[in-house]
Amino acid sequence: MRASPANDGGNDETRHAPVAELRNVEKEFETSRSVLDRLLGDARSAKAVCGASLSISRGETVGVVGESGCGKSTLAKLVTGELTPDGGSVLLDGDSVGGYPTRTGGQLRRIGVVFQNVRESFDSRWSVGRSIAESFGHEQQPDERVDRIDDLLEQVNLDPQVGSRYPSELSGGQIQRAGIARALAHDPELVVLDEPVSGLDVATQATILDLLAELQRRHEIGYLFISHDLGVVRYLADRLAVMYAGEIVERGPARDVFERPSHPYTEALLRAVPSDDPTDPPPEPLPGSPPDPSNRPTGCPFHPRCPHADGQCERQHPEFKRVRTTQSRCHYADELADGTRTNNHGTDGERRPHRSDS
Amino acid sequence: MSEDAANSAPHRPVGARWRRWYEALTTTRLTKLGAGLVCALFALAVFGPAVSPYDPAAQALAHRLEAPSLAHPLGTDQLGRDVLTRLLHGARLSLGIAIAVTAVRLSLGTAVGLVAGYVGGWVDEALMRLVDTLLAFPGIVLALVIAGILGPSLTNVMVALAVVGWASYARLVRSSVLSVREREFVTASRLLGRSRAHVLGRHLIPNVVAPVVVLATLDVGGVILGTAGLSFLGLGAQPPTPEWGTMLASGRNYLRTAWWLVNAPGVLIMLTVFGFNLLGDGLRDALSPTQSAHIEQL
Repeated sequence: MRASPANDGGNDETRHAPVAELRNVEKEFETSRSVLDRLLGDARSAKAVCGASLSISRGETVGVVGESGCGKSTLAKLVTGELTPDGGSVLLDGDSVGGYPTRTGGQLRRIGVVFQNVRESFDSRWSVGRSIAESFGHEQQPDERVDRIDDLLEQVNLDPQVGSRYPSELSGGQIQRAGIARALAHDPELVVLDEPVSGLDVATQATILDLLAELQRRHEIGYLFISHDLGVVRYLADRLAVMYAGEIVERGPARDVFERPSHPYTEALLRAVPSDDPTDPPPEPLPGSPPDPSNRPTGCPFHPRCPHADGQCERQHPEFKRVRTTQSRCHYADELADGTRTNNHGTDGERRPHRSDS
Repeated sequence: MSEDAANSAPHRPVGARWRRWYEALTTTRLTKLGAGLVCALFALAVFGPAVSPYDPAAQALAHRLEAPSLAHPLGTDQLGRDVLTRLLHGARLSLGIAIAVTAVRLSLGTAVGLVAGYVGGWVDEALMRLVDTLLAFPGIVLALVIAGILGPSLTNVMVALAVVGWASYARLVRSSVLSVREREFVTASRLLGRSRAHVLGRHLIPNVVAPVVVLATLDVGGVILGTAGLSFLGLGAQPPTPEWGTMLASGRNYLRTAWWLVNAPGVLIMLTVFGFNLLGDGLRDALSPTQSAHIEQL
């Protein structure tokens, strides 16, 4: 699966205006909720997403990768409206929107969602077909609905019989397909996929990813693809956003980000992926752990774990820098991309390109 | 619903649901015993009075305090009335009361629990403090006070028992709603623009029904016991109504000479409560191991 590189179709002339756009969105969660803390003005909050910007158009796949807890799912929930941003704005077709209760029916139908825990997203007391039909508008006649359910199930390569079964009777791959069918049921332009293939075996993962690619071609849907698995993202993503501690630290065409990462975090993530080639060096796990979101480091959030960090990184929060085709929030992005930056731990900071594709 | 319709319509085939309940009822021997006792009681209440040749209120002073015999299988009381006939009529009365009271408790408690759990905020806070207050009193004592204030009658006993008992339903339903409403299928439904009423009616209520039915089954036994207890104390049914508690109370005066007057209704009350409790326990264990925790707390 990882052997087929992502096509770089995101930049060609078929690009549409973005369906959904995030502009500098921020989301905080209160972590201490006791009355005493509030009275003392000591209410702590954890920043799940800070200042992230992203846009998704029809027909393209935007991958979001990062470690657990980096804010990927929060980002997805801001797009779907499950959460409302504390700062910045979420735009649908250029209109600023809030959470789902304030969105119009038309706006809600723009977005389909495949939930992280697909089985949980089906009511276990409802047949799969009934759950899919819940996405339909009210205008359809009962027999049209049945036809449409059968059609949707066939599109995701499921037997129409599955429509009358219950979620607990389906296998992991089947329920995932049913989840995709449901997300497509109201003809969305954008589908948010939160870890759509985690928890599936590799063979099933591959067929689901193929299915997603085919559906995208057929319906020209945009995907916001959230995953911690770089191999999976690589297969589907046209553009990639790498998240760390609630920030997007690097973004650009997926292939370029994978081939020539210009942020040390991306580099470290790629190095942590086991290679297919046994002659490659073994994977290196990232040292340290992600920062506590209620107590973020000063300056660049990655500096405590970064081999290249120096005084400037501790003090100053980096802005995006353009490095060839990608953008990177690193003070030393240029030097890293050129391979001229050495790390400050005394060893040679020689860049080791990620070679799993060669 | 036919098999064909079940496959073509996007709605749940009814058969699967009933099969689940049937399987729940027949899993263990004790549950079967409970179900058997309850079924037998219903049969007695429905058909018994029609089969019995005696009138439950007709006095026959010539035959007073007769020991059990073929003509009177459970003997006669101090006014010569056939004890078995009175028990059968009493079964009809007790079951009717128990079902009515449980239905009121269930609807009131479920409504309050749904509102508290789904609306949340100060509404939840206010309703739950009321529930806490009610649960803080021992139920039967509170019912005794209410029935005492309202005056002795069967209707007042029913009111008292209904007022006292809905709180545990409210708490159970609220806690179930709180957990179900965070599930992703509720989010999925809301993200499609479905209304709160749709979510409440189609997702939340069906998902909280099972533990409520279990609690109601256990409750029927309790209500029968409560009715009999209050009647025994003179607050409920008045003689000559053939109510089990009332029969027990009047038979108490003849405990030394006519043991059947007390033992017959006593044993029947015991078997009834026993049956409903076994049935409820069995349902609880069978329907979901995780739901048992909810009920255990009540």
